[in-house]
Amino acid sequence: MSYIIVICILGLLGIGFYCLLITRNLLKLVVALQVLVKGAMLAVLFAGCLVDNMEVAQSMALTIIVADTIVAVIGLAMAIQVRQITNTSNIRSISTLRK
Amino acid sequence: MTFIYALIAVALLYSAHKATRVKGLLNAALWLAATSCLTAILMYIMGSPGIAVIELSVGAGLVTVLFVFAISIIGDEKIESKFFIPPLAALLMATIPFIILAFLWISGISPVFENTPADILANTIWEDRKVDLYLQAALIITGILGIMLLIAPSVANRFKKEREK
Repeated sequence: MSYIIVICILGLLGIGFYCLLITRNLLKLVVALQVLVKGAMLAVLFAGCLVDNMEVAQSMALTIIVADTIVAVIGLAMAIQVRQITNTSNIRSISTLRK
Repeated sequence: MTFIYALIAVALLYSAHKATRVKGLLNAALWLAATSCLTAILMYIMGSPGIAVIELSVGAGLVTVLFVFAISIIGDEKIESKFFIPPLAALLMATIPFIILAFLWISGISPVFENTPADILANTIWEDRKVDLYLQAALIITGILGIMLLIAPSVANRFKKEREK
């Protein structure tokens, strides 16, 4: 059981980090961040299981969920604004916003 | 029972992989919702039903709706530019932490966790971790401002006008 959860955590972190490095679409970047954070959240809960202190782990996981959602909202808002200004979702276009 | 856990784990990793690699943003959003559902199931199995419910409603519900809303505004786009980092180098960089972890595991160096007794969840949230609550309130206000930015076309229009000048 523990090994399965560890594999899930490492897999999610690896997939998220890899996608974060190679993706060029702003919306896909937010998706990669979401996957990465899910791995981190599972890791926090798993650490709580290991030390038999689930209450603190759950409290921290709750904060992570809130922060993750806000990151998604801000990221999507930025993606929309960048797309409307530059007519592309390519992350390279962000550098052209400079006056 | 282990078979079911393994099945959930495989499905979780597959859906996460599809969410990041599938063509089409709408498909990616749906695969991300599936990833959230499976993460919630895993959380439930780990003994956190409350957090699992919140993850299910927020991760699979709210975030997916926001994604679909954003995609409907800006549409899908195929990007042809070069990678910032070559995929092979990115794969190597994503793998290095696991190689280090495997080395630590094989060497027998594992972190020592300190077991501190905790109260029930409600007391932990409302009394012991009050700063977290203030932080969450601040984040929610930031999120509301973010939603306003999401639906405000005026920002882009003003920026465009300034650039044209």
